Amino acid sequence: MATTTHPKVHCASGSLTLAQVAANTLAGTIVVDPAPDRTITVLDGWLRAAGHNAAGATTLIITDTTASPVTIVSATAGALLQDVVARFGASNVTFTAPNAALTKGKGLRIGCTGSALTTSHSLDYLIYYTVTV
Amino acid sequence: MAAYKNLRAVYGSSAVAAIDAGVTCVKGQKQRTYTVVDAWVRAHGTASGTTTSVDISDTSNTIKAVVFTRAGLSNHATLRAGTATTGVATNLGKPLTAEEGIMIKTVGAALATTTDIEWCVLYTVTPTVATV
Repeated sequence: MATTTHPKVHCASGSLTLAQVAANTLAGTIVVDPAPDRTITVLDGWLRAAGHNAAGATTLIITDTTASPVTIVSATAGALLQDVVARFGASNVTFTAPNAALTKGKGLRIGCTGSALTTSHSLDYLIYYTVTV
Repeated sequence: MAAYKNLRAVYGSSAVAAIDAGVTCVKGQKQRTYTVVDAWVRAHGTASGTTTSVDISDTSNTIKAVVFTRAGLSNHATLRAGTATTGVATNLGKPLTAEEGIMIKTVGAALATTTDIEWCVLYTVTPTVATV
């Protein structure tokens, strides 16, 4: 049976410096704080490199904040061109399990794998998500 | 970091004459700054002529959140912000001029052939810090 729901859509947006993305590789920076008993579901979003095309890192990742993080988005550095919006699900911006509920009580973080992200000055991001109790 | 609980959306359809003149999608408010985080447009009737683009900007046309170039305005096709070359979104996610509204407007010659354009803008609102 099909169901119809009307959840409130939240968005997280901002700009991270290279250090915030690259620091400690997987550690990255938390962009949505964890909240007890809340479950986040990522619906859509985009990334954009500022200052220069991105390079260096193997992938730019958006994960939840569990100890063994669940990867939600994985973008190659080559997909992050200066001032160009790279949408989740576009070529080389893999959107893993869109609309899938993440680990309860965990937030969202942006980081990278491999070597540090280089050449860009910063990374702009927008993430649409819902929160359920 | 910024997380917003109140993502807002404005949607409409405007005749090309109105788009050519400039449609204010959201009126400016005192002490408020809008940030366009996403948008799409859909033309009815393929755009032709020498129109350069249809832009979503603040009402003074100072900061352009998205520039939809004419080549992307195909009949009944949704053109999203960020689409390569035709949905240029350099300032998507960046604050517009404080206390200004959001506008959609033709740049260059008037749109031809197209009858109307549907548009949808997703945006957030933040308080503007008062200067003393």
